[in-house]
Amino acid sequence: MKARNLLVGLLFLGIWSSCKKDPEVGDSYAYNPEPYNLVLPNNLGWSSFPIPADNPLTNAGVALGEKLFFDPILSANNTQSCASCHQISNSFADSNKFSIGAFGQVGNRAAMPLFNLAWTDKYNLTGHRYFWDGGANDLERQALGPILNPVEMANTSLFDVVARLQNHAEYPSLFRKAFGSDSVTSVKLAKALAQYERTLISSNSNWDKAERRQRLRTQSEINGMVIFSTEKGDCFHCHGNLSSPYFTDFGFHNNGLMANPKDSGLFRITGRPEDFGKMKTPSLRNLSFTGPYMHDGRFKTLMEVIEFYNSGTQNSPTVDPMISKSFPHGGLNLTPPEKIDLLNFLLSLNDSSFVVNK
Amino acid sequence: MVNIIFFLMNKMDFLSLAQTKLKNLIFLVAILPLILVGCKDDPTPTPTEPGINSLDTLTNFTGLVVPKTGSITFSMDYQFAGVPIIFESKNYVNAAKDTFTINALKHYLSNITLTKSNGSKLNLGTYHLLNPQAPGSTIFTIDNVPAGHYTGMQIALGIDSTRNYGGLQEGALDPSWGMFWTWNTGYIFFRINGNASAGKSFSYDLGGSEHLVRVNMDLTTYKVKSVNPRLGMLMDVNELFQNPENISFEKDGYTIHSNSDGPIVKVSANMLDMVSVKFLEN
Repeated sequence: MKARNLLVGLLFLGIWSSCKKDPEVGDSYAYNPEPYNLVLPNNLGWSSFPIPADNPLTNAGVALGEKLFFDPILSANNTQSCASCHQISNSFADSNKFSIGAFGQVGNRAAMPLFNLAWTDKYNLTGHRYFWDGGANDLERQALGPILNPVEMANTSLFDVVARLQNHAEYPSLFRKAFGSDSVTSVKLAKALAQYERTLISSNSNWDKAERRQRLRTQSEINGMVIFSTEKGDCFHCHGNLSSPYFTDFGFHNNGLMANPKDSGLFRITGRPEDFGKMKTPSLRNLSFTGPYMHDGRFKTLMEVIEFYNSGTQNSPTVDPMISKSFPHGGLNLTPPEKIDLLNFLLSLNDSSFVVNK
Repeated sequence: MVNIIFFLMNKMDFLSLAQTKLKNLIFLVAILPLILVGCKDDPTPTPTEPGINSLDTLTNFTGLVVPKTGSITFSMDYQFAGVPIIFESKNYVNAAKDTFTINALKHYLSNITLTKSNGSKLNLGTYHLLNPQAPGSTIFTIDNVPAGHYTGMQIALGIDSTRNYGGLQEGALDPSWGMFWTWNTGYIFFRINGNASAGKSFSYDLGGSEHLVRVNMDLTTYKVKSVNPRLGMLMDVNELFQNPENISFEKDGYTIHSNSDGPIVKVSANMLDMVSVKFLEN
């Protein structure tokens, strides 16, 4: 009888301990599709952006994407993460003219800054959206490009990358938490990175604060705004009008950088002669952090950029009409004070809160 | 019951396992009548649908009759001018007199669409990546093919635009297979490369939805009735370089990709007669 009581006691202990253990083991890694609370800017002009039905933002997915973004495990020799060339302090651009790859290879284009990306899906309907040359039509596909590019992370196969993640102590659990299964795939990798990138929203510049009536614009900024948004500077045709807070038209243009464009740009993707030398219009936000400028990083300072548009643009068969229309007048003919005003307007688009670790 | 539990307890380390055993036992006892009933009912229900009956009795037909829901096993053989391909070592000569080896050949095959005798189309909707150097990949079975009388077939040597430009996908369309442009949008539909003469190599990565090749094949030269037929196809790689227009490395390029307008249009037109039905049998 005693022995039996003991057995029953042990039995209950067994039940109790198993009850206690089971829910705890791996609980923090259980699949959790809790939606990510995306806070969109509330200035006038900002809109929501489409999120792909097959890749909704979740807390676990964004967190996984962020961890992957900063992890050198993605490069062939475990030396380089996305953040190596997309540094927070540079508004996720690279301060190098050309980014240096995992093995020290020198690339041929400047790394683009990363913010407010997903509006591209809404406003660019061409299917050529990301990269300087429009080579990716969604952020998921874009994310795989640098991982395989021989001058960037230099993996020869996505299988290698997936295997490294699969063999990692924690990643399989994090993939389970985000996507419901331990199995790592390149698709889930791309989805996680894209989720994180969609959360990179920069909307707290002095310009935004002025839009929200939280500060007054300086007179010089106002003068610069006028130059920007009128035929005088004619920046707005490509960089968006003032009622659009993105400062890009999400399109592609040949801005007259070279008489014989060395980089074929959008042409590489479309094969259409009229696209030769066209590059993606970058946003004008956060310019103080994103230099050097242009796809080839040729200009070190914003004044060099302004002077280029003022007097340095060159003709070529595909040059944008908004650029070539100033040729007969020998350029824009901005006066030195006008250039300063334009600069001050551009500087008002800096969002210093975006370039610090959160 | 308690005795049974304690009996099992002696054998097992965990109560949960014992409970599982017990549950299994109860479950088995509970479903036994169902299994028996199921066995008894099974043979009767199928041939009541009118359409299936007529397919079963159909004798005067050409093409393929699948009398009830079945499976078709598709396969592809690869030749160059009628001779099986030997990769890497053998030299081939095309109509433009280019000499070359074939080092790699991989392609997508999708949108297998069967034409019914009444003209309607049935897209089987699957995606396959075929690589003759990985022989298991060149034979595949599609299940749940609806009953029907089929007289023709179309395949796409590539991916339809929905999947080509849509979000990333797993399976045969997983970007890891390397048939995916990470610098351009979409999949590489068809890859062939090798060594050309004078130390040069050639590399054709064909793609782009506007260049998607859809090959039509007639099945009416066959007469097969089967629920699991086998349909063998034959790809003659020589046809990529000729008919209607010769492709020459010097003239059309040692590399052809989706964005090179002229040559890929010519190649795509040549590919229309690249695949034929080799056999259709029970």
